[in-house]
Amino acid sequence: MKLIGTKSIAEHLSKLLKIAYGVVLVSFFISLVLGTISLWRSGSLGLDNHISIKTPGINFDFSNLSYKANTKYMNFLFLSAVPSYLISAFIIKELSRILDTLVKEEPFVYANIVSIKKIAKALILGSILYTIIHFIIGLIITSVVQTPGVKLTTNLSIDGSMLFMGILLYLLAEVFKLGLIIKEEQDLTV
Amino acid sequence: MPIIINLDRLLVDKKITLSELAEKVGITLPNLSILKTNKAKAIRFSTLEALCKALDCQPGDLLEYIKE
Repeated sequence: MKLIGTKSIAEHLSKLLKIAYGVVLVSFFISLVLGTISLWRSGSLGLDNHISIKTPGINFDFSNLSYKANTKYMNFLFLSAVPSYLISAFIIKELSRILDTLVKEEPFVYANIVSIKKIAKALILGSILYTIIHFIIGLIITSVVQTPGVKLTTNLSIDGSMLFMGILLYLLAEVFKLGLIIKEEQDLTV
Repeated sequence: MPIIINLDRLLVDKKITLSELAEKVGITLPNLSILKTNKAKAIRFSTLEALCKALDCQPGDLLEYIKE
C-alpha cells in the first residue's frame, strides 16, 4: 500500500481524522451543554455514593461514600472536559490539513509549517491548561468526597510529555522551514 | 537581483520563439520562463552550455551585471 498520494495510508488516515473531528466536536457540545445545565441544578449529577478515580496503572473505586461539602461543586467536573475537547478538535483539524497535502503529494508548502506550529502551540497550551484543570479536579474531589481510612491529596504536576512534544514539534517546524527554503532554491534552478 | 538574463533580446536577434528554444535545448517551457522572467535563483552550467550552443553565443551575451 502506498504511503502518500491517492488511495494511500495518508488518505485513509485523513478520512479517519475527519470522522474523529466530528465525534470530538459533538462530544464538546454535549459536555458543554451538560456542564452548563448541571451548574444551574441544585443537586449533583450522576453521584450515587460511588466514585471511581482512574490513574495510569491503578483505578480506585470508592463506594458507600459520604460527602463533607456541598456536592454541587462536583458538577464542575462536567465542564472540565470542555477545554480538552477543544484542543483535541483543533489538533485533529490541523493534522487532517497536513494529511490532505500529503494526499496531493505536495507537502512542502508554507501552510504546513503554519499548521505544525499551531499544533505545537496547542500542545504547549494544553499541557499548561491540563495541569490547572487536573489540579482543580483534585481540589474539588479532595474537598467534597470523604473516604474513611484513605487520605486523598492533590498536587500540581505538569504534563511533561505534552510540553516536550510541543517544544520538539515547534523545532521540527523550523527544520521544515529550512527544508522549504532549500526546495524553493532547487525549484528556481534551471 | 543585479544579474539579469538577456534571453528575450537574444530570442529576437536569433528570430526564435521560446517554445522552439525549449525544444532545442531540452528544458521545459516553465523552467525557461523562470529564466526569462529573471525569477531564477541559479543556473546550471549544463543549462548555460546548452543555451549558448543553441543560440550560438557566449555566456556574457546571456548574462549581464547591473550595479544597483
